[in-house]
Amino acid sequence: MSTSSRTFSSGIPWQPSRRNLLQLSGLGALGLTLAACSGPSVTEDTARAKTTATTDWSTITPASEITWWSNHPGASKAIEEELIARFAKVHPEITIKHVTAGANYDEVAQRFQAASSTSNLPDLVISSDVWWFRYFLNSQIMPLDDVFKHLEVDTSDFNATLYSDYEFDSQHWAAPYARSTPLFYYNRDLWAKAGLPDRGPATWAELEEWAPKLAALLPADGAPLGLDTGTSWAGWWMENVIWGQGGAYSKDWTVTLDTPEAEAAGDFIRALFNDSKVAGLGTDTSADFAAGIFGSMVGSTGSLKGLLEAATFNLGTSFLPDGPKGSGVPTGGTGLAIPASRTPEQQLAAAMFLAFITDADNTAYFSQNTGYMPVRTSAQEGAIMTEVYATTPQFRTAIDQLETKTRTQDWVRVFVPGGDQIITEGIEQMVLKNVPAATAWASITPRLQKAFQENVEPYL
Amino acid sequence: MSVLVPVRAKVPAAGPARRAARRRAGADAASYVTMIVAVAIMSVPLVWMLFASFKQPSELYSLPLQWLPTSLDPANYAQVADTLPIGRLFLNSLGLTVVGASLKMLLGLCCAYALVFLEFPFKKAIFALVIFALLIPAQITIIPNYTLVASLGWLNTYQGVLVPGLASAFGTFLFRQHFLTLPASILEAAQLDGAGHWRRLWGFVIPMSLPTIAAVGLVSMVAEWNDYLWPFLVIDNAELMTLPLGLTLLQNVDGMNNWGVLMAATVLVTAPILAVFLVLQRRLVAGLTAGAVTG
Repeated sequence: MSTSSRTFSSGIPWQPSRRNLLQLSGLGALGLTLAACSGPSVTEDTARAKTTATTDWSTITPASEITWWSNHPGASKAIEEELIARFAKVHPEITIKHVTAGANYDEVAQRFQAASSTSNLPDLVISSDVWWFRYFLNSQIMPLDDVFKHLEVDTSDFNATLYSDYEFDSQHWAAPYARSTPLFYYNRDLWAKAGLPDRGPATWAELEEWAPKLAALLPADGAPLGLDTGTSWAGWWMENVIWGQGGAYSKDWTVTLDTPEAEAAGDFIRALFNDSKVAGLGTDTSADFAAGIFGSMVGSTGSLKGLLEAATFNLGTSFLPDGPKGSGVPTGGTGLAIPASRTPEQQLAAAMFLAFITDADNTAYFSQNTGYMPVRTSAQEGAIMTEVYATTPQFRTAIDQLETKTRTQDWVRVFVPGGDQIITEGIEQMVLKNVPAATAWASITPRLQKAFQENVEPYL
Repeated sequence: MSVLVPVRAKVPAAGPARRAARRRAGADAASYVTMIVAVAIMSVPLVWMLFASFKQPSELYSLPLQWLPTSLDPANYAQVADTLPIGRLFLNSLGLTVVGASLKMLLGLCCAYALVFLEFPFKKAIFALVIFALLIPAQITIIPNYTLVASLGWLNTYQGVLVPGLASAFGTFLFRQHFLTLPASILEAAQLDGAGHWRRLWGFVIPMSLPTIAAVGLVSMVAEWNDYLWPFLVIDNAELMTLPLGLTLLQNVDGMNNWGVLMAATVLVTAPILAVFLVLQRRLVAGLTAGAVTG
C-alpha cells in the first residue's frame, strides 16, 4: 500500500491549520445525524495529540481499569462478557468496563465523535472499515505497532488481508476483531428442483444462465438473487462486481469510475435488476431469502448462523461469482482501535486486552459463536474451528474465500468520509432508476473528488 | 260571498332533497372509507407486530404469509427478559418520562403565563425567539449540550438526560396561544379579589386549560418515552438505560435479526405509551385545536 508522508520536508511534524480545523469542525453537529456521510470533526486538542515522540512502553505500568466501547457485533454481548472474564483470570489486576456504545458501527462513531471534545473517551473502541481512517485523520487513534512489539504480539499470525486493512503511513491503526466478507448464499432445495449443480455460480454469467430455471420456481414478486441496497451494503458487494470487470472505484486516491471497466460493471448490475430481472431488491434480504422469496443472496458471513436457524431449506454457500476479467472479494466488519488521547497506562492496558481477545483461541471462540472470521491464521485450522467446520461445513467456504479471494477495499469507499454513501447513491441510480452507468458514475465522481480534496488531502 | 281558500305552503320538490341526502350519504360513505383505510394503514403494522411477537423464525419467514401465530407461545418475550433487564429499563423510562414531561409542562406553563399576562420589555422579541427555537433541529445543539453536560460531570446521570431538554418551545407556544383565548374578565376579577400571579395561574388559568395541558403532556410524554439519540449519547451505564436504548442490545449488525424477539421487545416499548395515548386521545384533539382561532 503506498503511503504518503505526514511530515514536512523540514522535519516539522504535520499540524492542521486553523482554516483546516474550521473546515472540519463545522461538520461536527451534522456528524451526529449524518454519521455515515459527514466529514470528520476534530478539535484542536485531538488534532495536536499526535506527536513524533514514541512512548517507552517498558517503563509503563498498565492502568487498573479501562473502558471498552462496543456495539456487540453479531449480537455478541454475552460472548464479549466471556472474553472479559477470561482476561480477568489472566490479568486480575485490570478491570474492563464493557459499554454498549450503540446499535451499529455508525452509532459508536457518533458517540466517539461527540465524546472527543471531552474526557469521556473509551480506552478501546470499535472502528469499522469505513470509520477507522477518519479517526486516523483526526489523530484520534494511536498506531499499534510499537505497543504490540513491546507485548510480543505475533502480528504475522494475523490474516494478512485483514491486518493490512488498517495500515497507513507504514503503521497499523487498529487490529481486526469482528471481520466478515460477503458470501453467496443459495437455496439448495430450489437448486435441486431447478436441476442445477449443487454449488454457487462460478461466474456472474453463469448465474444469468441459471436464472430462468430458478425464476420459474419462485413467487411472482421474487427473484433468483436478492441484493441489499443502502449505505454500507451496496458499495460493499458492488466492489466484487467492479473488480470482476477489471475495474475499481479508485486507484489509491484517484477516482476511476470513468473507465470502460467501471461502466461495464455498472451497466451489468443495472441490467441484472431492470432488464433480465435476475436480481431483486430487499431491505432485509436475509429475511426474504429465508422466506423463499429470493433463490439466493449476497450477504455477510455474519448472517450464516441466523440463516441456518431461520431457513426452512438446505442452505448452500459459495464464493462470490467471478467476473469476465477476474475476481475479488472485499472484507468488512470492524476492528478495534486505541484512542490517542488516553494516558500511556490506559493505552497499554487496552493493548493487552486487545492482544488477548484477538489471540488464536479467543478469535476462534468469537468466530464459533458469531459467524465472524477468525482473524488469526493459526486459528483457522485449530481445534475449535475444525469442530465448527464439522458441524457447519458452510463456514469452511467463508474461510477458503478469505484466504484465496479477498483484497483490500478501494480507498475512495473506505477512506474518504462519506465515500460509501456517495457510491451507494450512484448504484441506486442504476438499480432503482435504470440510469446508464456512465451517467450515474459521472454524477458522483465530482462529489467523491471534492470529499477527498476537502476532508482528506489537506491532512495527508 | 267570498270564500277563503287556505294557501298551501309550497312543498319543495322531492328530487333535490333526495339528491342532497344522497350527496350527504355519499360524502359520509367516502369519509368512512377514508377513515377505515387510514386506520388500517396505521393499525395493520401494529397488529402484525403483535402477532409476529409470538412467532418463531420458521413462521415469520413462511410463504404464503401467515398472519396468525400457530400458538401464543411467549418464548420471544421470555428471551427479551433473559437478554435485557427489562424491569429496570421500564422503571428508568417511566421515571424519566414522568419527571421530564412534568417539568417541561411546568416550565412551559410559567413561561407562557409570563408572555401573556405580564408586562415586560422585549416581550414580543422573546416570543419570536421561542418561535425561532421551534425551527432549529435538535441535532444542532447536541454537541454543545454534550460538552456542557460532560463538563458538569452529568454524563451517566438522570439530570444529564433530563435538564438539556426541559425548555419546551412547543409547549410554551401552545400554552401561549391557548392563554390568549381565556376570558380576561375572570382573571381581572381574580386580580381584584387580591389573587397574585401564582394564585391566578394555579386557581384559574390551569383549570381552564386542562385540554391543552393534556395535549402538551401527552406530546411531551411520547417524546420523552421514545427519545433515543440524547440518552444514547449521555448514558453508557446499563443501570440507567431506557427501553429504546435496551432495544439496541437485540439488534445484529452484520448478522440476521431475530425479528420475533425484536417485535416482542417493541411491543413492550410501544404498549405503555399507546395505552396512555388511547386514554388521553380526546383531550389531545381538544387541546391541539384550542386557541386555533387566535392570532
